Amino acid sequence: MTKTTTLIASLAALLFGNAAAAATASVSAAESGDKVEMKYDAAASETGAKPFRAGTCTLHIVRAVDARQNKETIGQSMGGALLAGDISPWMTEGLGHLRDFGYAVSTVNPADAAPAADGVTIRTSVTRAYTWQIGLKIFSMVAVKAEFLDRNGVLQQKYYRAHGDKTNMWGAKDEYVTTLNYGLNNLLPFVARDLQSLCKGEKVDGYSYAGPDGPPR
Amino acid sequence: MYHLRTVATLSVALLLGACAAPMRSSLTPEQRGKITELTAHVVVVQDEVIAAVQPSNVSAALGGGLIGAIIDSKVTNSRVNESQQALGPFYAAIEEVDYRKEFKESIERGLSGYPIKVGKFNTTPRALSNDKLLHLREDLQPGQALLVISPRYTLSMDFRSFDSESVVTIWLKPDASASNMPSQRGVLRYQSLPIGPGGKESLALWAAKNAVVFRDMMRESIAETVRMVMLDIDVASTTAAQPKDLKSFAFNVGNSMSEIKGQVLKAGVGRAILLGTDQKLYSLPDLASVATTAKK
Repeated sequence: MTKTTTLIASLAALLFGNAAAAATASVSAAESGDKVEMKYDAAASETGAKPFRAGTCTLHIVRAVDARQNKETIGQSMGGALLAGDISPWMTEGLGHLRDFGYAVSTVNPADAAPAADGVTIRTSVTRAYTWQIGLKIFSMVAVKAEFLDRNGVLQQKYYRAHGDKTNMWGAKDEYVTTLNYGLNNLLPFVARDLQSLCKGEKVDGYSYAGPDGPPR
Repeated sequence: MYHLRTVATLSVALLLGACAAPMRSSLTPEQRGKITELTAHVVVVQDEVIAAVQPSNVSAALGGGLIGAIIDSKVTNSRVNESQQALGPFYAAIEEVDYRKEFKESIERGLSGYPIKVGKFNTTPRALSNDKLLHLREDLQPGQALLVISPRYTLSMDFRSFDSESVVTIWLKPDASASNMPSQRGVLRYQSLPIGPGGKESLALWAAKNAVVFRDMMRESIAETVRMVMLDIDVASTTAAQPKDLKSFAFNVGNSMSEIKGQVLKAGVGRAILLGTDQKLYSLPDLASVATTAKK
C-alpha cells in the first residue's frame, strides 16, 4: 500500500513537472502555439491488431496531397494550438505500410501522369486530419479521397473516413499525433481489403468508415 | 503502471475541473464609455462539426470519484465510436462546408452596423494561448478593446439539433486593466429547430440535397451568434430579470427534452434571444411564437 501511495505521489510530482515544462515550451514558442512533428508510427494501435495477408498485386503509391481546409493545426492541447506542417509525408509513409499486408509497394513521382503498366496506382488527398478531446479521451479523424488506377486509367474513386481514440495520459502534444496514427492505422486494413478486389479489376463500395474494430471479416 | 498513470492524469483533470470562470461578467459603465473601437479575434479550433457525445452521468452518480471518472472515459469512448459510424455519409455531404469562412463573412457583415466600430477582424484555427492574448492586448491603442469570440459547434447526441456555444470576452490594454480576467465575459448558445425524429433518419435529412438544411442552420447559428455578441454588451447594463418576466423554452439536451428559463431580450418569428437564469444568452426556437403568428 505504502509502495503504491509513493508511486502515485511520485507520478503526480512527475506530472506537475511535465506541466511546468510544457508551460515553458509554450512561452518559448511565443504566440504561435506548439509545433508537433507528424511522425508516422506503424506500431501505434489502440487494439494491437496485426496486419492480415491480403496482397495480390503491385501497388504504386503517389505522394499524398494535403488538401485540408486548415493546413495550420491538428487541434489543441491544454498548452494551446497544435501546429503541424505539410502532412503529405505522414500519409504517404502510412500508405507505404500496405506492404505489411503482403503487397509489393513502390512510390511514384506525382509528375508521372500515366498509371503504371502493372498493378494498381493509388492517388490520395487528405481532406481532414484533426483531433479533439472529450473528457479524458483524445479522438482523431482522418478523411481521405482515394483514386485507384490500373493500366486502363481510373478504376475507382473512393472516400474513406477513419478515426482513432486514446486515453489522454499526460496531456503531452505527442499523444495527439499518436491518436492520428491510430486513425491512419485503422484505415490501412480497409484499403488493404479493398485492394484485394481492385487488383482483380473489381469495384468496391464508394465509401468506408474505418474504426478501431477493423473491417468486417 | 498504465493504471497509475491514468489515475495521476485523472487526479489532475479532476482538480482542474474545480476551477471554473464566472459565467458572466460585465464592463463597468466607465470602461464601456472609453471604448471607441474593437479588434475582433475569432478562434475556430474545429475543422468540422462534431457529434456531441455527452459524458455519461456515472461519475456524478458515484459522487464524482476516480472510479466513476474511469468508467465515464470508457462509456464516452463507445459512444463516439457509434456516432462516427453513423456519421460517415453525412460527413461526405458536408465535406466542402467551411465554417470559418462563413463565420468571417457573417461577422464582418453583422458588426459593420454595430455602434462601436470594429477596426480589425482576424479568424484563426489556432487556440488562443496566454502569450498570444497578452500580445494582442499590448498591441491595443488608446480607446481600443479586444473582442475574442471562440465558437464550438456540434450536432446533438440524437442528431436532431445543431448547437453552438461561443465564449465571448472583451479585454482591455494591460495597463487599463491589470487583471488576468477579461473585463467582460459571456456565453452564447444557439440551438436549431429539431430536424427529423432522431438517429440516422435525422442525419439523412441534414445531408439531403447537398446538405442544404445543414448549411442553412449553420448560417443561422452564426448570424444569431453575431446578434447575441451585439446584444451582449448592452445587456450588461440592464437590471436583473424579475421572476415574473421569465419565459420557458424547450431545449434538446441530446437524449431528452429539457427547459431553459429566461428573460426574452429579442423576439422574432419562430426564434427568440433570451438571457437564461444561468446567465448564458440563448437563441432558441420559439414554436409558440409561430403558432401565435399563424392564428393572427
